[in-house]
Amino acid sequence: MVAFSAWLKDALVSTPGATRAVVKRELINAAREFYRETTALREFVGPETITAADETYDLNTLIATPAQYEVSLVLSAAINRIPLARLTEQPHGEYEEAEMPNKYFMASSGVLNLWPRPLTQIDDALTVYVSLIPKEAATALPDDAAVHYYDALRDGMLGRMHGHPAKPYTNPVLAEYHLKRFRNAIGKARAAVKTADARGVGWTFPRFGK
Amino acid sequence: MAKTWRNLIDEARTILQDTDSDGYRLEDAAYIDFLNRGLQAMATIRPDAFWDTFATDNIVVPEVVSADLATTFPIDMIFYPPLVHYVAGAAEILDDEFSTEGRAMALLSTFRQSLVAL
Repeated sequence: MVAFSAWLKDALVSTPGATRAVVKRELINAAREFYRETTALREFVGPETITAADETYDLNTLIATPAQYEVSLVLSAAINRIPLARLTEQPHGEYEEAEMPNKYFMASSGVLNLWPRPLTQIDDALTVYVSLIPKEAATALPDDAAVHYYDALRDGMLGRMHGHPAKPYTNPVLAEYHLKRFRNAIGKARAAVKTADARGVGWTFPRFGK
Repeated sequence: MAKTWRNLIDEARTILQDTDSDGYRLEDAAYIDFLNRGLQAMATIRPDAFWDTFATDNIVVPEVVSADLATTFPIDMIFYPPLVHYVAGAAEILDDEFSTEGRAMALLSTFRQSLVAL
């Protein structure tokens, strides 16, 4: 985890007369938007034990650092490595029951419901791949924020600050400049995440042909 | 050392040369009223000054009373000088033989300018 202080210190020279709490708020807002749009912050949850007759799993309590992050998106889920199909909503009618659930839907943000409801306990079976965003009350950002996304988050923070009306640091031109850079950085990061940041040739010449 | 509401009023008194405690031209009560109006005016221009006092659905602007004068200034210190100027300007604008209208306007203008511009 990296502290906010580096970004806040950067903001000092660009946002004279700003209250530090507001700058910090805008940094968190920018980070939330960045990670929501890029899904660059990902984590495997589990394997969790599936409890008999319990179809609901609050992923926000199962992630590694629930005090700092919350689940933005479930990318995939599996039971004993068998992928579960995603439903867009809870099926109509009574909740079905079965030995082994084969689908899931999101009951609310971060709350995964298995479908059908499991009848028996399955130890260390459920794994979920999630994308996370910093919580509103976060006190630090992920390590990669400082390594890969420092400028992106700085642009997001400054763009939002310069867009505030009637403040000593108001500057619509700079707001547009920084937000444009921020959006570009989101696009690049999203593309990098899609390709797992694998660059160069994705194949090797077969050994038999050498 | 942290500034208090008392320090703020004393600094306004210094600007107005109203520092003779045996014969203040204006009592503390008047300065406290100006201070409270200044805080409310600041809440309109810079609501973010009261970011930390937000409760439920709005900011809570402090209403200072004489018993609070020893309390540490609870807002970001960047808002201390504008408030000193407001209190001094509002006191200067009073219609008495010592007031100078131009100075009052300059002080009140400084208050607003320092909140919204460099």
